[in-house]
Formats: sequence, structure tokens, C-alpha cells
Amino acid sequence: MAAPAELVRLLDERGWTAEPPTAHPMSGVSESRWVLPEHLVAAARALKEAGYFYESLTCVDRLDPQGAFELVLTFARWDAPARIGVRVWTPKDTPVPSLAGVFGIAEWNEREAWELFGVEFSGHPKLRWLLLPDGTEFRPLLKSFTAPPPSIYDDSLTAPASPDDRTDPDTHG
Amino acid sequence: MTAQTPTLTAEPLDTYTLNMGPQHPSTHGVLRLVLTLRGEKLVHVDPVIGYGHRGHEKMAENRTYAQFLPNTSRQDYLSGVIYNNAWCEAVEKLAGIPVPERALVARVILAEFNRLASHLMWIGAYLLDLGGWTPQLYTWDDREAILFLLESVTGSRLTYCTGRFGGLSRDLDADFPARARVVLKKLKDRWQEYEDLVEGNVIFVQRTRGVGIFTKEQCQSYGVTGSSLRAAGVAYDVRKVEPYGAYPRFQFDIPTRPESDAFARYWVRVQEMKQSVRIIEQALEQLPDGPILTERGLGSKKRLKLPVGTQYYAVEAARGAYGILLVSEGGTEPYRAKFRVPSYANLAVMQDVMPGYMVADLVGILGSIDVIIPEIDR
Amino acid sequence: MGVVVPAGRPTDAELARLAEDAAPFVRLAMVEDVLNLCRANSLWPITFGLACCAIEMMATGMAKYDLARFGAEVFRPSPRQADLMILAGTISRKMAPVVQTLWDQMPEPKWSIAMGGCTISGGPFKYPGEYAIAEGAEKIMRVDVHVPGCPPRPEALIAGILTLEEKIKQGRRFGRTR
Repeated sequence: MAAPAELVRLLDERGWTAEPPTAHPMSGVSESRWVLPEHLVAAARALKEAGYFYESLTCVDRLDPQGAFELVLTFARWDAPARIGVRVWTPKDTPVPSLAGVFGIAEWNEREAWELFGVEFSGHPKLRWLLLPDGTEFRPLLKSFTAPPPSIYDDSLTAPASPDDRTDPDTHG
Repeated sequence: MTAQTPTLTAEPLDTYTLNMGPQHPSTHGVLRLVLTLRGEKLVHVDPVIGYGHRGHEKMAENRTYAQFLPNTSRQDYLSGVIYNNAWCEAVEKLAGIPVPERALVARVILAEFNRLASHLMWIGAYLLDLGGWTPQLYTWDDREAILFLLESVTGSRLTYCTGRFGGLSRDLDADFPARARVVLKKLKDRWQEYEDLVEGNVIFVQRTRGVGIFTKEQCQSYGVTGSSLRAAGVAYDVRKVEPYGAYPRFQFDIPTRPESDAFARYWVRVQEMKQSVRIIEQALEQLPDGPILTERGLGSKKRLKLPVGTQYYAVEAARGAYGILLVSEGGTEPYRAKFRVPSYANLAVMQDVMPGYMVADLVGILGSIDVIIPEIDR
Repeated sequence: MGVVVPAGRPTDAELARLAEDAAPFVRLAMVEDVLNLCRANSLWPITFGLACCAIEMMATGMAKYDLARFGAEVFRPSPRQADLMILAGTISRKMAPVVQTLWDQMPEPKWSIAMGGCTISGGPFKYPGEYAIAEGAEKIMRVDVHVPGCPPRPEALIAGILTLEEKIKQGRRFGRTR
């Protein structure tokens, strides 16, 4: 049960895996599979029961021509060099089932994917900003993102913070 | 100031909300915790992070592989060598760049010295959190000796950038092993002193025993790694489970402790330092001669092009398992780089662990997991 | 001739002559100068680290570099008790309003040191399309001394503090916010 090869065969047998949309190889993992979004929660549960922990969630904005996001999840074990890469692709306007009910850390990872890319997760307790200030409108890690709106914190608004201070020779001697 | 929305819980009206941070001496940087308290008891803890968010992942997409090297040591600035090596090794693996033997061993030596410096810094800061000022002066004194040694090789004290694709940019001097052994001897003489001063201290023991207990289920659910996991009785260490670099050729143990409280985490870190010393001693013995950077010229190539692929590469940093997910589309820049940082999971588990403890235990629990906030925020 | 102290309320001319006469014997310093001397030699920084530079700031206060030699080792956790803000690390956009609030909470007279590249200009984290950081502390507050480096060595921070002390002793920059 524990071996990665057996586990992914189980996923295959149950019909949870999908055909890859890109021929992009993944290395550094023992096994990797594309999983259908609707079976993601069931697959995660199977991995948890087999003793795997949720290692990381990465969103890649590579399937933009197809209008989709690619999510790469990795799961690893404590006792053996076994890492399983689970990849999901989803159209940009379709939410992905949340894994927050299976793995606690998924809540933060999904909030991050939501604020940086705009991936929607269904069944997540509350999608709110994690790393960016509350109310941030832009999705900075999208490939289409070029620059944030002008703000006082960068050089886009050129006025110095306090003009009178800068011209005072006593102040900046 | 943008209002942060604390998680509203359906608690009765006898609770109140207390804000801690982002400027608080015990939050180790810029962490903010929104605490819900009933009397002095923690009911709900909501960590608010992102005050150190610098956009490393976006930056990786704007830089060539070599240009991103300095960033790695600024993610977790206390284990800069380890992160720097990890980035080099991830790229080497994807590009198929060979690394000379000497560089492999030298990387281990520098990384283990860095781990020692990081743990020493943590011990000092943690005991300061618990109210002891003096131990910090001792541990920082030891740390300065290590930094001086690392500086003679890398040229910097904190944010190291010696790694190159295919080796290291600078070689270890001829007298490096001798100087390293002097530092190791100094450290070994200190263990007993630490044990006497700290582990025998009634206040320290009373404040750390039996607080902040992680169950194995919580560790699995949140992906806790590093010393915090080993203190929960799980012997997970990437250096052993998925050996990388020159680690397979060295003998070392993984210290574990079953209690999983703050004291166990302290104990595990001190034992880990002893193991690091053991690794360095073996590595100094086995340090081979030869070039430090591969001669094929790939290491110094500015515009390195990587083959198409997605590479996951994990190492054991001072705080736990650090992973790099590198996506290459064949260009000179990474298409996407994701950093799986250990403190992220180790802090997230606090939401589950903290409730039920007194507010006075909070600092003792939070300090014991050794978080680096800019690493979490990236 | 000796010092002739005029009777009654002296005129300006008499005062000037008095100062001239007394110059060889006494130094007539303004109270301000004395106060500034005291302030310069007893700076109380706020315990406040943002990122990597904070570790070097701590190293400066520890045994080897011993910031206490220059009277600036009393790190205070509360902005109300501090008169020096060492901005050690990157100021993110999420943190910038907090830094501003802390600065406003510090009582006058107060000074600030921008430590490291990030607080000077955004440092290594400034690039086209950058979205996360405030590009320099000057965008949000007044900075008295800049200490370059990534991170600066403890010696550099000490040099920065000594520069600030010089500046305070000269009576420059006092009593004005922003």
C-alpha cells in the first residue's frame, strides 16, 4: 500500500487519473499522475491513509492558451524516499475542490494560490488574503501581470514623501 | 492601515480578542497573531502573515538562474548556505551538470557549519524569549566564531552566495581544516556548559515541559518537518530519507524524542548540533583534492538554458524540509519557481496546537518551533 | 581686566561684551547643546527587526561588537520608550503602514537609521513588475542616516550610529516630524 507505484496503480484502477494535457515531464518524484479534479479529494484521502503528508502546492500559469491553470501537489512520506506528484488542470473559471478538510496545511496553500493566481477552491473555509495586504485586487504571479497600480510606495508617483524636508539643508546635511 | 479581518468564531461573549504583533519582541520578526482569549486561556489563534512578503517567486521568473542565486540566501537568512546549495543542486539536476567531489564535500561542511550557527542563534533567542538574557551572549559568541570561519571562505557573514552551478566559486583554504577544528573544539567544550546552565534550570524546565504538544496526526495534517517533527518521535530527516549531495558517505544519527513538547524541541536541536559536528569532522577527514568548480564551463555560463521539465528537489534546512519546485520551459529564466519552506507548515500547525494553553505559554511555544518570518512570506 | 557683570537687566551690547570677557574662563553653552550631547550618547533603539538585517542588528548588540560602548544598547520593545528606529530589513507594502504607525508613536525627538539596501531604495528586491515592497524607507518616513550593505556588517551599523550621534551633537534635525 505504501509504495508509490502501488498507490498510483490504485488511483489508475479507480479511474481517478486523467490524460496529461501537456507532455511536460516531472522529475524529483517517485511517481506523478494527472488527477481529475472531481476525484482530487478522494485521491488525497487515499494518500493520507497510506501515510503521506501534504508537502507543497504549486500553481503554474502555463495552460493559458487552453484557458486553464495547472496545479502541482507533492506528497511525501516520513519513512521512505517516496514522493508522489499529483497534477490537476482546471479551466480558469471552474473551482477546484479544496483539500482543507483532509490536510490542515491545504488551507494556507489554497489561500496563497487564490491570492497570487486567482484559482478558486470550492469547499474552502474562507478564501482570504494570506501574504498580500487585504483587499489587493491584482494577481501578481499571473504571466499577464506586468505592474501593480501606482502607489506611494514605489517610484510611480514621483513626488517625494515630504518635499520641505528634502530642501532643508539643516535636515539633510 | 488596511484592516485585517480576524477569523470570527461563534464563541460566546465571554471571549475577547487580543492582537499580538507584527511588532512584538517575541514574534521573531514580523509575525502577527490575532488571539481569541477566554480569561487567560487561548481559544483561537489566527496567524496573520505576509508582513515580510518580498515576491521571491515573481522575481525568480524575472531573473536568470544565476541571477537568482543571491535571493536564495535571503529567504531563510539563518541557513543561507543550505538554501544556496539547494538552488544550485536543483538546477544542476535538471541541467545535468556534474559537480566535482571536492565541491560536494565542501558544500556539506559549509552547510553543517551554517546549521550550527542557526541552531546557536535559535537557542539564544529562545532563552531570551523565556526571560534569560545571559545564554544569548554565550551562544552568539560561539556563533561569531563560526561566522568568522564561514566569512573566510564565502566573504559574507549572513547572506552567503558561494554556490555555482557545478561547484563553489571559492575553494577552501589549505589551513581551513585546522581552523575549523579549533572552532569545533570550542563548541564541544561548550555542550556541558549549556546542559548545566539551561537544562538544569528550574525556570526553563518548568516553562517548557509539557507545553506545545504536537500529535503525530497534526504533524501529518500540516506537514510539520525538521526538529519539531523529530521532537514528536518521528525520525524524518531528508539527509537520511532522501540522501543528497555527499551525505550518504557520512555517519550520523537522527536524534528523536517522544514527548513532543517545547523542551523536547530544545533537546533535539542541541543533539542535532552534536551530529553536525560529527558530520563536519568526518567531512574534513575525507575532503578530497581536486577542482572546486566543474571544468566544463557550465558553472560560469551566464545564460544557462535548462531543458524543459518540472523538478522537485528537497534538502534538510535548519528548520526542516526545504523544497524547490522548478519549472523550466527551456528558456534562460525559470518559468516558475516555488519554494516549499519548512517554517510555513511549522507555523500553520499553531492554529491547532495553541488553543487550550495559557497566554503566558504562547511565547514559549511559538519560540520553540523556530520560525523565520521572511522565509514563510517569501 | 576681569569680568564686569552689569547691574540690572543687561542690554544686548552688554551681554555680548560679557560673553567676550568671560570666554577665556567659561564656556557658555546653550542648554540645547548639553541636551543634545546627552541624547546623542544615550540612544534607545526600538526592538524592531524586519528581515535579514535584524540579525546583524542583534549581532551588533551582542558580546563581540558590544553596542553598549556607544550608549545605544537599550533596545526597547515599545515605541513610546524609544528615540531611535533602526529600520533593519525589507519594508513590504503590508508592513509599510505599520512602520509608519510605529514611527508616529515614537515621541520627539527621534531619529531613524535605514539599515541595508532594502530601506535605502528597495535594494535587491526592486525589479520591473515588483509589487510587494516599499522602495525605500524615505517613501514613508524621514531617514537620518543610511547604512548601505546587504546586510551591512555590525561595524557599518556602529559607524551609522556614530554618524547619527555626530549629527545630533551638531544640533541638526531636531523637533520636526516629517
